Amino acid sequence: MMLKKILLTGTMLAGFAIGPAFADAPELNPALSPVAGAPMVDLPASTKQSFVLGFSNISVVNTWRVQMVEELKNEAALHPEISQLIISDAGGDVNRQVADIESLIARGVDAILVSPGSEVALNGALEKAHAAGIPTIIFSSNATPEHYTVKLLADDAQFGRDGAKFLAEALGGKGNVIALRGISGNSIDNDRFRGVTEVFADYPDIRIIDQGFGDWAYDKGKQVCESLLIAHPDVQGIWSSGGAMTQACAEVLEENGLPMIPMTGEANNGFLRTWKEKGLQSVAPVSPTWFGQQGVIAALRVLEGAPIARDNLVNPPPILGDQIDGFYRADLGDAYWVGSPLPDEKLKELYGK
Amino acid sequence: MKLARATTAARLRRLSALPVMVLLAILAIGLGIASPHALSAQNLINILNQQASLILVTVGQTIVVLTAGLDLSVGSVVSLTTAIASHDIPFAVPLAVLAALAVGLVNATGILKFGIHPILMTLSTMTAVQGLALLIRPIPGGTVPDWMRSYAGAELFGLPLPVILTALAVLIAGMAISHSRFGLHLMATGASPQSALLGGVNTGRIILVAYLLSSLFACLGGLNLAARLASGDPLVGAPFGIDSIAATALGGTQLSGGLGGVAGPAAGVLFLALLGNGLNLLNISTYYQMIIKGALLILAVSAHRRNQPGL
Repeated sequence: MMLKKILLTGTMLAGFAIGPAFADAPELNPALSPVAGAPMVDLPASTKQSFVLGFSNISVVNTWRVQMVEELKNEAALHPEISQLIISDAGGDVNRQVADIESLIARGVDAILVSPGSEVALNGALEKAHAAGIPTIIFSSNATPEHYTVKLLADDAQFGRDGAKFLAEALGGKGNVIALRGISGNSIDNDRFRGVTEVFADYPDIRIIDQGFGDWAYDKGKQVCESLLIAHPDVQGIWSSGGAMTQACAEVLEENGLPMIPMTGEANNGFLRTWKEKGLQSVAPVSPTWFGQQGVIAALRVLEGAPIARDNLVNPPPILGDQIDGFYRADLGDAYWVGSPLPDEKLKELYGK
Repeated sequence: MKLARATTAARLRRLSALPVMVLLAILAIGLGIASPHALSAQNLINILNQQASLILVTVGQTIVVLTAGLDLSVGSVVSLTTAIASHDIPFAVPLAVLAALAVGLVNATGILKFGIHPILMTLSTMTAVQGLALLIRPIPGGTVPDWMRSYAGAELFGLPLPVILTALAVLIAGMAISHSRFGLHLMATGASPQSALLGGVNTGRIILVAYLLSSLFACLGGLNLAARLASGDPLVGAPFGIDSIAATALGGTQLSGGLGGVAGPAAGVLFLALLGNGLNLLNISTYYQMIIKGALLILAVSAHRRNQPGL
């Protein structure tokens, strides 16, 4: 009996010793999935017991980015093996972001997380990190160096497809639609709209009769929506590239006594509130903020030798009308991006009323 | 008497760079104590390399400020330059230089011929040139010629080539301002255009040359930036206008004209950069960084002696 116990303990210990060191590595969000054909990361596990992570952020210019950074910091604090997290913010200046990455390389951090401000401008600096043997995790927007460790990106076209599919069904495959776009020339807006045109290609009876750029903002969106609705008071549907513009447009319809036609929104708290209060026919495509959090997890998986694919895409399903209550937070402000992994007290500190 | 005044002016000019130099030294020592990484050779080289473009732009800005002018359009010229240089067309670089000189010419014409205030004139060209840059390259991208990429990565005596050439540009501009007839006329024009005119200085020509040089230096900054980023970006220069003015003032060049030099403003750029870099290394949040920067700018500029005669 005693012998059996000793043997068993011994086997367990041996198993522990030779078993994969990554058994404790955190798991990625299941909404992230490897791109078809993406290779697995092929780096040996770090021999270190604790890690210094560097994060080069392009800016905290809007609440989406603020929340993304907070979620990243929160995740890093959950893992005692991360001894230090160094965050540099380039204030929207890609030139400074190049220097920030170079500075993180000079400090010899164990992994570099990057939320890039340009697809091409950082490539030189990211190649330097690779040459220095530092894993690089690119997330939330793309950069295109030849060598990198992991990418976590969103398919922005999916945001457009989710909205367009909803509209096509709500309109029974027939009708005139106006489009509220984001910032002219912005790649995210272009990709979202590309998704819309892809879907509508299958519905020849749905026509986008006019569009305007509301810069994703409430006030500009309101002006653009007003002028579009004056020109086309009889449209049957509205596609929007962002929730704040949809909020504004719903108010324009109400103020002008027009019927509440189907319109697409976005998964932020302000839009969900309007959706609920006005009883809109809508859908809320999701552009997740938790890239930063997933970036930390990806870095840990790489450093601990746990399996992870090189290229990953996130495509969370859109929020549907009967799911609003699962996401809407009446106790938080309009600027909150729903589905955050942040603890309640932090959310209340950021968005509390 | 005349000689005495000239030497006083020369001393003042040298002194104008003193406060920012002292601040830079204090900051460097403070950061060196607070974080062992701040003063590592690699970190310092990184900062110099990152700031080379802004230093070039600031040299041009200083020349205009010495005439009691101001050039808000430099940022748009930087953007326009990267937009043009990142297109795969023959003579992209000479074309970018010509476009920049055209902006300088328009600025000087508006100010001299139509009597438009430099702030309004360059604000107008800033807006128009920004539009042009967006027209030429609506979204960031493109690529620069191979020689520009090699230039950005080249090293000489262990220092990046862009850093060496920028230092050379500062040196030459500094010499031209303090030791040439042009420099003397520049100061005279800024200190008192009427007296300068009476003294036989062709102030109109000096102002024209100043705005051409400002656009040219902005173009050089833009080319350096395009090489570093290996691409063009229609908005990348936007912060350069305000940043170059802040660095110029911080460097002891009076915005009322006629007093200052380029060494101080170049040190001003490095001060602001080292401050941002150091606060990052110390893990101080971006929000606090902005507050600290604004407060230090006021403090530093008030440390200068102002309202003194230039010549």
